[in-house]
Amino acid sequence: MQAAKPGAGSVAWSRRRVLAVLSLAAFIRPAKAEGATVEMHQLKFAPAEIEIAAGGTVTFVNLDLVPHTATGDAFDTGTLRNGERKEIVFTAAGEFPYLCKFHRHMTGRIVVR
Amino acid sequence: MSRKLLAGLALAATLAAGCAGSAVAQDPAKLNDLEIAHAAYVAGDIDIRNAHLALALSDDPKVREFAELMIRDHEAVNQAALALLEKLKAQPQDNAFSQALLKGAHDTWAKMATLSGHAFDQSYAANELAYHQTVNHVVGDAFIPNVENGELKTLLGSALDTFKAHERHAAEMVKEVGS
Repeated sequence: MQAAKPGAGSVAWSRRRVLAVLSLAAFIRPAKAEGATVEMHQLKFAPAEIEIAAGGTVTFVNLDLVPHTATGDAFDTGTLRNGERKEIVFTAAGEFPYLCKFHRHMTGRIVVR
Repeated sequence: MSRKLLAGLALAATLAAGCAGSAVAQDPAKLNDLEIAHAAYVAGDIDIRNAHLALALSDDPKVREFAELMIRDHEAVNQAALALLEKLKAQPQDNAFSQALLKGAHDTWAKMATLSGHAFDQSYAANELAYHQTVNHVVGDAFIPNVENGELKTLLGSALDTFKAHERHAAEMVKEVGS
């Protein structure tokens, strides 16, 4: 019969309890969705391509003097003037190309996985 | 020959086309900050008025889209310039260079107002390309290197990014409306 080492039982129990609490917490609190920020700067989207998790939020912020939009088939920030920002939540997986409808050479792509 | 001098000569040549008999334009590299602010504002305002003329006279969707872009962007840049001047508690200073810009613009408007249809579209497109090429040289090679106020220098740099995009867009418009 193997003798239990002093304290080993309580450490193992603590680990199990921590794991259980963390597992429970995962059910109680939804996982925080991954997010990203896209800057509109010098008439470019930066970064031009990003990848986020489904449910994630992309924040578009205009740092240029002139108004911009981020417009795709599935979303549109509307007109953002200097200093303005808009958050867009992407719930479905897929690829979402977009452009500024005022400056059509400004293009970007969001991949939602 | 320095790029700065070339820019000045290019602008002088452009202005000369519409300024026969008027005084030679002031060297843009010798303007002070308040004169630069004035000239930059006037240059933007001229392009806004070019655009309103285009919206009044053109039915071409590409020309109208470009004109709307010019109004939207130049108004935004000019509003930013006015906000900066207000913050600095400064007044833009009229000067011979601004006056020459305006004189050239009035001559251009008088000629373009006599045109219609495709002839107007071609003239507007060509003028927008030439105007942005000239103004971009002056802003990049004369205004930005010589302006002393850091915030005005930053604003001009940001504006130049936009104006260069306009120049590329104008070059595409020239191809699209044909020659």
